[in-house]
Amino acid sequence: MSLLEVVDLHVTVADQQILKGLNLRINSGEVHALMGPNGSGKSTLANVLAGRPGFVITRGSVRFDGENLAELKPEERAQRGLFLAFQYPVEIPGVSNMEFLKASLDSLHAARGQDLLSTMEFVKAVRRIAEELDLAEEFLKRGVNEGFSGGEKKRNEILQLLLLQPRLAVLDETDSGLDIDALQVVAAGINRYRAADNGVLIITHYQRLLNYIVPDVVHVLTDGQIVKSGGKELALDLDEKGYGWVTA
Amino acid sequence: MNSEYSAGFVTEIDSETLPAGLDESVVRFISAKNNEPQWLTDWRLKAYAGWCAMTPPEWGQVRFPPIDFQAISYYSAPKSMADGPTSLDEVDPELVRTYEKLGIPLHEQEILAGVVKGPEARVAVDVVFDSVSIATTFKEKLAESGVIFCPISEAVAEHPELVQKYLGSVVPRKDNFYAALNSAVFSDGSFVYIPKGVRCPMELSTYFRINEQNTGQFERTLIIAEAGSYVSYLEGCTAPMRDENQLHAAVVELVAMEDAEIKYSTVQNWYPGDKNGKGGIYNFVTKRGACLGDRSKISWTQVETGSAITWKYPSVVLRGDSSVGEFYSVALTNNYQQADTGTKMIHIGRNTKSTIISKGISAGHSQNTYRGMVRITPGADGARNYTQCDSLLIGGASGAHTFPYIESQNTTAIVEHEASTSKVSDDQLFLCQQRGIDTEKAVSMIVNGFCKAVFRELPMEFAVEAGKLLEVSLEGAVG
Amino acid sequence: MGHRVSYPQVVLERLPAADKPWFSAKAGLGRLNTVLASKSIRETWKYTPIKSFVEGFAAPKSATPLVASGLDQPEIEAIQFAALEGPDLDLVRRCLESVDGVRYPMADLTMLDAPGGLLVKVTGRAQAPLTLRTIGAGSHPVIIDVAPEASLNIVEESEAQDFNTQFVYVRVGAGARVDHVRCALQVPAMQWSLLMAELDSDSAYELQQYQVGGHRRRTDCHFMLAGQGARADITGAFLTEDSCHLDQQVIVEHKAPNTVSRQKFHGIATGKSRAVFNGRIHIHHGADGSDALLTNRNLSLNPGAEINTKPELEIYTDDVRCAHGATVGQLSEDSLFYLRSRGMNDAAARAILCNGFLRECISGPMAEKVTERFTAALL
Repeated sequence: MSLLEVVDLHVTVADQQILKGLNLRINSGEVHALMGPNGSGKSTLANVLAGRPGFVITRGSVRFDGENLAELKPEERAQRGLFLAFQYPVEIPGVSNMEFLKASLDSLHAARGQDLLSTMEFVKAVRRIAEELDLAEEFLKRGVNEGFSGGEKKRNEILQLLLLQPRLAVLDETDSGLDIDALQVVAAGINRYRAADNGVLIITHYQRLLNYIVPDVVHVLTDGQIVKSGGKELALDLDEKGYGWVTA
Repeated sequence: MNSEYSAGFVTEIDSETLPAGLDESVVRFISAKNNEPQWLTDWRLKAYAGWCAMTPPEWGQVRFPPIDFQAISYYSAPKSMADGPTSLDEVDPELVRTYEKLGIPLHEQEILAGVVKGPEARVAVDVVFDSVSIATTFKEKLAESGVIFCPISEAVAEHPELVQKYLGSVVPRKDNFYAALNSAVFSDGSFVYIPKGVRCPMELSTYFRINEQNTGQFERTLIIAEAGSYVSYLEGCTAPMRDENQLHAAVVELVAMEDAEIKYSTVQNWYPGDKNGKGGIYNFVTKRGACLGDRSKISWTQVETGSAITWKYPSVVLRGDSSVGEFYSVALTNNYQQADTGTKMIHIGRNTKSTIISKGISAGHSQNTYRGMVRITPGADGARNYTQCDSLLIGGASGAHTFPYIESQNTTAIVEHEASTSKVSDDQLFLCQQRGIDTEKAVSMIVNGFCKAVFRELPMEFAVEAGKLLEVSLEGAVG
Repeated sequence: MGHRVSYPQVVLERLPAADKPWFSAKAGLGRLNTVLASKSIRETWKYTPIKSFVEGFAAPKSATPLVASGLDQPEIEAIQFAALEGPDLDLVRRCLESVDGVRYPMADLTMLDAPGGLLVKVTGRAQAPLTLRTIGAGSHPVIIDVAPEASLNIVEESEAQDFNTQFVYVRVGAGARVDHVRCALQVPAMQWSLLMAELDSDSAYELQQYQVGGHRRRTDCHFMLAGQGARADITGAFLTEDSCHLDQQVIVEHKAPNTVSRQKFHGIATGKSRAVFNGRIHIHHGADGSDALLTNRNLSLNPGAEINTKPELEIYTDDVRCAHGATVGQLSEDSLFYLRSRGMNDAAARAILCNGFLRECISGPMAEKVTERFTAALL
């Protein structure tokens, strides 16, 4: 059974059809990269997998660990192990990062019938990951993403990834806006996460991140459909020849 | 999740209730019931005469059908109380059970013996049921420090000179329509006196419970803190669920002398009316503190989640030099509730300071208004005020309004006022959901974060209760 | 409290009672009789007793209270009220009827009092400004209808020595633009003025209001952002001196989605004067995506000077971005010291800082004249 199985997916957003028959299959232990020009539907796929309201499946199916995703609420998908690293992480002033992380981790554990971490265990775990990602302790005491720079927000997303240990991580343009140092820190985090029993879907416009996180499969998304798939060399070809080359 | 107003039950008990209607004889009856001296009866009658010449105010942002003051009963007390029980054992067990159901333990022995543990054990309670005080716990223990904590009816008998000196000194009988009414017909309430230099050893609280129908509750509270003293006082209240509206018109007066501090916290959970706006308490209250002495301090902290209509402005008159007034408020309205609440800070002495933090949350079809007044009089050199009013709107059918009056007649004063309006955004909700947190919990977290600056000021027991109350009150607000 | 105010009767009896084609005297008098005795008047005129303003209407009038120039342009057509007919008459009537008589009793008084008025129709991009100068006692209402995609510059100046009122109503068509400067830089006269502006979709209005406090002056501005995407930018700088009394009221109603408003007022109160500011943002249900900001900063420079400010928010929908701030304070001691350490004496330093403070709100064609007037008042 595959981790993620997307079959003939058609998605409409604000009465406009964005995905027009997308097929994708990700097995455990695999890292897939999804590349494509702006407007091709990359973020739409990420959002529809996570269950954001306003993204309507008009045809086709999405199965996560064999389960039909469309019937699950966003928090239920999260509890089943689906994680989305947002392209534009939102701020929630007044709710501290620590409090937010604990609420999230607790809800995941509770849904799985697992014991909750004690506060001390939790804080230790968070601190350790924060250090790896070069995020200072003060950040954690602030409101969620409050006053964070773009790079800090993206690192905060990866912190959550490493803490929550999902089955499938969907990274929506995590590399956009990052300088080379932040990019390396983020990539190291993702590489630490990848394992035989989970999967990663990297959505990106540029090949740069893929120098650090080597994908098993690269797909090209154009106008709502995956038009070409290949190995990691495909990314290099795209970089050299541009997206026009694929559809030519 | 339990969506019933959990305090909405009725206690089946024999009560002596005056027939509806208000005239001089009712005022005399109440005064006689409390065995009051002539000076107080006269005081009430004068208030009544003044009330008759006034008309109800109309400037609030609240709408309700005119109240028929002749259709309310102005006195109701459990019959058993007429026998004058001197200890809790003599009080009708049904009454005691009422308070236990509400989470208010009354048995001192049990508390002292450790049977009742936890934060409740550190609080002395005066419980008021309709028009009378049922019991006051820890009175003797407090008396050891010289602290007087008793029903106001008792204070009139035992400490008349104090009552006579301060009653009506902060909120005069003519102050406003509802204060005049209260001055005429007030039933019971709490009297607190902290002598010089004493830090009250326990937190004091009064718990108000309306039970009988078609009655109004008019409690009167008077707190006097002598020089260098400190007291933290908590006010709690609930009422049964009824289809008719009931009036709660209270008056609270605080007096703080030199270097004294009074901390007054309220968690107001009067029945708010049902989902369609039927029933609920009208909460029209006048609360005012006078910082008479230099360097005195009065803080009002309130969490208002109940009442069909809330109309109250806990205020501080800053007479003493370097005196400080604070107002921290969370007002939540849902369904068809209406709130027009805020504060008045009047700066009179020199180098006075006031801080106002108001957080309004409007959900459902409710209307939530902050109305504040910061007045700097000509002699208030060096006055400082900082005000922050924020509104959080949940859903697009409610209203959030801010009307701050800033009047400055002193050139050395600095007044700063900021207000903002926001909503719980779809993006914020989705982020929480994607991290496994369900919608209700997410809204609760965000609302709690919004109210943090105010919850921080509450005594710990209240802070926990307040958070839970907010969660319950917000049920169904986010579809 | 609650006593009836009897003075209006004396004045109302002296006003013309005959109906005019554009305004019903009967209706106006009816409204006035109710409103002037009501409790609501005490709130809307809280800091400025309305009595003397009403009594002002009993004084003799000048033949030409208002002089309008710039009417001779191809894009502009001006018609006196007395000559109105057909759709133009209907337009003027509709505009006057849309004014809230409870909130603006002075509008009813003005319309009763004024023998006539002017309708100005702008059909294209007017090259020269429309100038309205109040030079005498009395009232002369002006209604301006700016057609879609058209544009107009308005310069309003007040120089009258005796009680006068100004009533300007501007309708801004879809995609049109109005730039408006209102100056009242002379002190003497008692004056009331109302500017009502109704903005259609994607139109823009920029208002600059400069006041050196009159003996007793009340200005009301009321903006209705009625069409989607409409935008109003309102800036004001004011100074009150001696025993002047200036009461400025601004109401911005967001009635349509994605409308924007900005209010920024800086003012200084000196002498024993009184400055009142009330800025209200009202967001109607359905006006989703509205974005409104208000800032009012005031300096009090003299013991005896009084500042009353009330920034208000009335919001009936959740999808909005709204904030306001108001401060009352003095000049910063640090800034004063810094200037003095660079050789300036105390008076000069204060004047420079005050000027800078007001100048944050001064721009546009009248900037130089206004700055000069403020500087003269501050020295």
